[in-house]
Amino acid sequence: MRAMLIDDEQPALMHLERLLRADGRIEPAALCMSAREGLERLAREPIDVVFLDIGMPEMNGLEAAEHIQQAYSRIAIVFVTAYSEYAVEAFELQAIDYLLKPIGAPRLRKAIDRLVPQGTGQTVEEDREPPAAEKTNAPSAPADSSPRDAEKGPDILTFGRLELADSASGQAYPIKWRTAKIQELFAYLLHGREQWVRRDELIEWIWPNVSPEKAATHLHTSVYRLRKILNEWAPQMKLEYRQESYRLLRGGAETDAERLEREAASLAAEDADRAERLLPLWRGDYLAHHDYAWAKSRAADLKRLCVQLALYFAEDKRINGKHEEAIRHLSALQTTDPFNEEICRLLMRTHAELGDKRGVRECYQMLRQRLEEDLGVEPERQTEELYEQLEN
Amino acid sequence: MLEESDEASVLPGKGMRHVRIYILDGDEDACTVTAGMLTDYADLDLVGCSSDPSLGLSEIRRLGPDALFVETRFGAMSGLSFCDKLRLELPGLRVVYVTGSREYAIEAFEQQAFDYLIKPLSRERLERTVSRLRRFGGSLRQ
Repeated sequence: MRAMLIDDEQPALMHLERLLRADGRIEPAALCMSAREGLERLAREPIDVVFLDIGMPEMNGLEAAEHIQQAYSRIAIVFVTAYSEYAVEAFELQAIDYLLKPIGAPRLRKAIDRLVPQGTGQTVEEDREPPAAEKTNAPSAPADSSPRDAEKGPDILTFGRLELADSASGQAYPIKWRTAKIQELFAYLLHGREQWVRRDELIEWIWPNVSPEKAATHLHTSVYRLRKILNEWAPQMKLEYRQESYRLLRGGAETDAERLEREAASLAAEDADRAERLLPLWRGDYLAHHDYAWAKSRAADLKRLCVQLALYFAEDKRINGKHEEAIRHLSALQTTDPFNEEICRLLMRTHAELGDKRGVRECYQMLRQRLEEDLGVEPERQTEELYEQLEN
Repeated sequence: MLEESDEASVLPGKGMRHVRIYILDGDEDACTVTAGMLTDYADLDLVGCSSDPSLGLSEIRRLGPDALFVETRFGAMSGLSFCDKLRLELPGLRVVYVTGSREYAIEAFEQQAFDYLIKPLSRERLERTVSRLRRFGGSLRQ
């Protein structure tokens, strides 16, 4: 069976390719970095299944699936995405499966079981990864983190796409913001953490190219509509006005980014379990989906924090002999931060401890190539030295 | 993809048989609506319909339908865990969720549900499910 992998992020492609090769039943025959490239190659190459990312620039995965469905109805589609909210659409598109990133080997195996007729050289290997129970039975969180944090997800999601969520189930509400400006107004006030934000500041960021009178009207209308939306979806939140300023009182709701910062600040050493619980909060850069200029610097800070946490967690796995798991996490981490050499070094070290020289080499060469092609630089000396040392 | 099903439906008696369907929904009105829409298809057999999960369970066991149209919740009970258990007994059963909420769709993929429809049902959407059922859902396997 021949598979095409479509994802705009190369590390994600390679991660999936590696998993497919490890399983062995499906051949990753074509790797494409855009939906357009994928569709072009489908016209020339015989393909049985497409593993398709959803969030891609230009043409997203849902559109691509529609094209594939129409032109080649026999090709099976498996969505591979960081977003959980398109599963209903995926059923509509008759997808065979819907995998959430980061993909683990056991879940992928289940998907492959559905694609490959049973009994054709299937290898059953149940013990590749420790069962989930092992993780949850680990020592419980320190006393200072309240049970609420342990049980519930955040109420407001800001990583990747801005969404309000039901904290018990973690599911996003299907809010219709009506206009992007209303959503941005909400995001900006949220960003301001319950502080008063001056009207001029809001207008400057959100309606920069509009005459003052028009901007005032827009702001006024948007505030009015936003209040109505909050009333319906998040009645505990209040949008207040006083002396030419606005603020958003959240009624105790916390964003995923704030949760991450708060918990990370109180994270003690040897607390990898808590780090592990925090990691899934990260779904992409802070408000990345919306491309707000005012969010960029905070986005960079949060990303750094996340990478640190993930590195710390992966290092803990490695030290405790759970190399496969460490590799899985590090590979996923590379997707979000492909030029980070610290990730690469830890990945090389982990491969080396498994005696996987080829893994070490691939890892190094990939980084080297990426740095050279995209940034025109060489790896840091520390990385070079480590590679030489591991090679010998 | 439609050629296949059309071909199958114009060849009566050639491996072709009616798809047998059972409907389970805690809301009786919803049951009726779904049933009404499905009876429009002459080649589907509606073998039973219930708003009570325990009654439904015994009927499904007895009748062994090809497909089950089912809500994701009946009161406090989860339709997904209901189906999880049911599938252990009837591994070939095609589960089609008919629900008001989008939130269980990922889980539905996890348990390899056949389809996931959002209420209110639209005719076009149902048509797609039905044509896939004709193709896979009867005695013929995928």
